[in-house]
Amino acid sequence: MQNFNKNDIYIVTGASSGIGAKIVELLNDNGATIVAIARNESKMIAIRKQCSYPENIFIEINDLVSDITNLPEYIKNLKDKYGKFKGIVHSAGIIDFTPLRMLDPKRIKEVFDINFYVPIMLTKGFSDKRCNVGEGASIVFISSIAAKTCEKAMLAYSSSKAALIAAAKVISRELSSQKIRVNTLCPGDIETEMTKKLEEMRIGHTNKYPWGYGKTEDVANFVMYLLSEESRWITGQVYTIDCGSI
Amino acid sequence: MDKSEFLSSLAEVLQTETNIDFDTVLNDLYEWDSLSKIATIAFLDKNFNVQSNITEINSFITVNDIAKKAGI
Repeated sequence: MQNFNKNDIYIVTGASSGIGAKIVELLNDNGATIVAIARNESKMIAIRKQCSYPENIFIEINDLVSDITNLPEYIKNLKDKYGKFKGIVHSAGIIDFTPLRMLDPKRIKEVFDINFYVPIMLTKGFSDKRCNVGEGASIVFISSIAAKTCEKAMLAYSSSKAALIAAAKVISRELSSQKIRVNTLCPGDIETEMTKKLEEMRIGHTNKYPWGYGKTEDVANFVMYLLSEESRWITGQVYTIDCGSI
Repeated sequence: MDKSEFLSSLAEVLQTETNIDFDTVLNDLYEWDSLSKIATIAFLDKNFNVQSNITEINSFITVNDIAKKAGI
């Protein structure tokens, strides 16, 4: 099992729900310090209370889409407050079901704002040498198998997640000389509040997961590995976690 | 949105050339397929701030059921 210590500070976005909340919990269980970024303060406080070492979780309430341009500066401010970061996990995101005939640029932009622009601009801030620990630092993007399955009515969502995969690859090359690792996970359907909507909306949905839907820990455990030193030789990769469904 | 605007907007959503009325049976429309149902959900959300899902949409029999959901 991976070992972290209190001086290992990780940023987790989307920290108050689903996969993000589970990552916070596991990082905390394993001794790391977490800066948990979320929109919902009461939910985030409740999650912190349930964690093993709540004193190692620092809550930052921020609606990240409200000022995307200044997100790099936001990361610098967080560094001044907490210290240099060992890693960042981008799990904030929204799902969307809009067929082409109902799409307009505004809706596409709303989806891209949180699913693409926010993680990219946060990473821009994180990648500044003055904000991260350098060698050993790790960035994990949470994309989706939607980037590959491209189901009907998921144009905006699938495209935003596919764009994230391409961006992560570019970033992994740009940050290679700093020995910062950059990897992307593409989970299948995980039991979360967000994917409940997916179940209600999917067209022609069949249970394509022989072992049932995934659990948040199925993704979070992989994230833990990618954040840890044990994955020191792994960067620029995209991993699908979907019970073999695609 | 008044009743006539609702019908013309819904026709756009369904991309149908059939003249629809409130009594039109949805399953009689060639265009009433899974994609049209998702489009209808997006139409209700975007224009009337009304949330729905596939199960509910599948229970609708006529155009009037969509109108009632929209509050028309």
